[in-house]
Amino acid sequence: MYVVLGEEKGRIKLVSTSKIEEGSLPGILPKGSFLTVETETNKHILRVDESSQNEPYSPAPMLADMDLAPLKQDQKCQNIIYAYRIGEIKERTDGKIDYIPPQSLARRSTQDEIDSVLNLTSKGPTVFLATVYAGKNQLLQDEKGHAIKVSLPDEMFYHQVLVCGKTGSGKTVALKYLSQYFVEKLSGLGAVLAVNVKDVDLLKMDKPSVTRNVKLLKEWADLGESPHGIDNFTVYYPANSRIDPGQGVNMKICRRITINVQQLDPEALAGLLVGITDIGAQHLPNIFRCWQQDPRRMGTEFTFRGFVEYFERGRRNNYTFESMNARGDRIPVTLAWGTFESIMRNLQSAMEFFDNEDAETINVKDILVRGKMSVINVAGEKGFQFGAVILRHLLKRIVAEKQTGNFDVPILIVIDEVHQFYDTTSSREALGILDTISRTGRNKKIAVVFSSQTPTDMPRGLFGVVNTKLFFKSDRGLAKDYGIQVTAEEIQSLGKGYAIVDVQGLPQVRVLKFPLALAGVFDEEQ
Amino acid sequence: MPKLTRLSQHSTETSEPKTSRLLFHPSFNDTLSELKKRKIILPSNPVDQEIDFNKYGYPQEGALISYVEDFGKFKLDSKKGESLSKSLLICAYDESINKFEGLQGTAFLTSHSLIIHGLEDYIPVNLLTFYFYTRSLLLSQGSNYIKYSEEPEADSNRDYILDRKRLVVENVPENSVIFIDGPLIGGNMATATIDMNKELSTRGIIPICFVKNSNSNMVTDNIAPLKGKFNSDMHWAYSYLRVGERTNLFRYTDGVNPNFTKIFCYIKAFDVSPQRIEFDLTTYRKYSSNIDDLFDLSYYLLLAQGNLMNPQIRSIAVAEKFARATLKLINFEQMMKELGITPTMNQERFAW
Repeated sequence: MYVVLGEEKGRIKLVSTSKIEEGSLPGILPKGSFLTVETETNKHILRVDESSQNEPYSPAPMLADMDLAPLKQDQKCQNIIYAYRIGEIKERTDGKIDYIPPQSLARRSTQDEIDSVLNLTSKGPTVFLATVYAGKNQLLQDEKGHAIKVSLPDEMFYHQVLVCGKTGSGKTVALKYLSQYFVEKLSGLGAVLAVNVKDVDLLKMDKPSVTRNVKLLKEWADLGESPHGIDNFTVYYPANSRIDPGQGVNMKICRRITINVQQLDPEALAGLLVGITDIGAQHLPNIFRCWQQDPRRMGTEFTFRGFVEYFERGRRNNYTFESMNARGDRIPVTLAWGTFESIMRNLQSAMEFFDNEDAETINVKDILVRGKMSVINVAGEKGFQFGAVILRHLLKRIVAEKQTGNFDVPILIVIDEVHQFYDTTSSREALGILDTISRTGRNKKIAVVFSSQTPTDMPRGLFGVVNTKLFFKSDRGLAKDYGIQVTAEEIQSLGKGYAIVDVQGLPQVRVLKFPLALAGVFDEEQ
Repeated sequence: MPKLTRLSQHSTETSEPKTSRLLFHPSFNDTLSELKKRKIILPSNPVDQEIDFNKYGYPQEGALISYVEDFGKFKLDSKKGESLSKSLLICAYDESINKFEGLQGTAFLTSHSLIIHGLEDYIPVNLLTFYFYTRSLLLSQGSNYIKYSEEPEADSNRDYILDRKRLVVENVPENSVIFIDGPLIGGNMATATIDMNKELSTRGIIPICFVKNSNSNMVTDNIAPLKGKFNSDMHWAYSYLRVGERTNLFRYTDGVNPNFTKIFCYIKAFDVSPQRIEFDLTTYRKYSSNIDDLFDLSYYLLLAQGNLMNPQIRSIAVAEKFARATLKLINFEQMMKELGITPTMNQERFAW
């Protein structure tokens, strides 16, 4: 039990009493915990902001040097707590706020009380409220020792999400958990398009997760979940690469794909030019658009090889090309020699992705399928170049199809290692369709989760549009730059699956623990 | 000769309180009501009143009878004291007093604080009293709570000592050791204190009085070789003892009332002014064979408190904390404001 001492600078101060919950031991209530103060007329829910040990008898340290034990009674400790009010169970209608009288008793809040004040609905991926204190990570519990759960609001997805964390912090597992929710539990079922950037991280989502970790198993039990793979799951991989069957990927669900230059959106070619300035890069799509006009008009087929040969011939013309912007205006452009050479190198390198006759072309209708998770595997040599082009192409097509109303299926796009596909210096203009999605995603039910080891890898132009941030174990400075109030000790001692968060629609929630994804995670990965 | 009782020997019927308690004297609220009824105004800013019985010293007609032990000094064993602190049931008493001096009289708000060493924590039992004394017969007429007094200070002490006795006798568990702040014999308290000690003694309770800051010179005036050489007994004890030592025991008997007898010695826990430990004769006789245990315990509790600026038995220091905290807890100032007993701002400004 806790006793209210009063209010100090807007926070309620409480102290623990000797009376503790049955079956528990005295201890410090961690930050982020919820307390309920019951008065005669109302229940007030508080969130612990600061929690520390207090020694009421403050014994002198002298005994320690004299080889004498202290009095047991002097070793009594109390828990001093400062907590913010986050709500009342009964709202007043007279425009005033209830007092919380001193000497009122408080206890840990129940799940129902927390749900009530946070206005939580059962919609959304369920995670655990957690805390970090003294280097230890714990799930928050109610008075009876049950873990407190919270559902992240579905709306969160459509306000764009940033997930950061070092390798092994639980970032990818969280992405898997969110993805599986999106295809299996989102109202009406959504579709997921994810890019796999390393190993077979996301390639085994058709298989149930496996763990022997008792705590993780209990978390599943608390959620009423059991591990299972995603039924409708397809892996797409570039035709010029291969997936090693020895890695346990089910080859039956893998499809080789190529990029059909006939259907390619010119803007997608910018994906080949990561590392070139915005201005330099913006010419290539326009040169390509102009070049493909003539064969299109004449109804003749054209290939990416043909375009590379055309571009090479520009050398003879002092690097001057005809270009056409999206409006159809033809303008001659002259590239700097260095820019030309850089583009040329990238084009030659990318030729193998295009127009492979024995591979399929991926279409938007393959992606926008309710309950389906599609993963494009770009792990391996040159994979990022392929990914950068195909991602731009697909995003453009997805937005176009959604705008025309052909598909109303919600889509979640998971971009891991986002800086591999978009320059970190990219302005909003240079981000093109990604910026459009970020601004209009809510209406069109297009959600993007950007994932990266550090937020500095995020394209600069996206800074303002990400409304939910999930920071797994990271460097403190990086989180602070994103407005997350956190101490170095807290963020560096986050365990696997624990994250300091700033969630759209859940301002009161600060530390979360993601359960182990139900699919695609295996013990050796944990 | 009875032995000091160990905790392990306590039967389940021991009167050790299991929970802390805050008691209000039955006349507490009635006195406040009377003040209100009679429109008596008290200042809102009380002064801390020290009942410093040390200042009474020893009556000049007193006589130091003898050494109870051979003249000398004895080493104290803090390790043994530590061990005893775990096995003995220890209690302590202290008080905190707020004095309100008004035009119509003087009020005393007293927090009597008794603490008992529980298994894991200190268990406080506090008694709050509130008395008002006036020299006005008119004001006190017909009231049981507005006390007429020619000497408010002395009458207040009398009430204080009776309340203290009541709290201690009723709440100290049997077979325990109780440390009491202040001298055994001092001023008009001696009879009541000795009576209290007798009652405690019948229940196997060992009262130990603990005195600091005394200017008495009973030893230095009565031991020929010391005479004229020291300012006070404390001065002598400081020079004579090394840290962790005590003097031999002395016996003092009042010249007028031989019942006022006590056994005492000086103890030096730190390299600062020593303290005096006193027992009544009955207690000493009963526990003389174990008396060294009590000194070792006292030494350890002084170290446990560890305050060189103000050496004190740890348990008494904790009792004092509770005494002060209780006064704050009840927010007496607010109570007086609500009753209209404190002056308004204009009354304060224009002195009524």
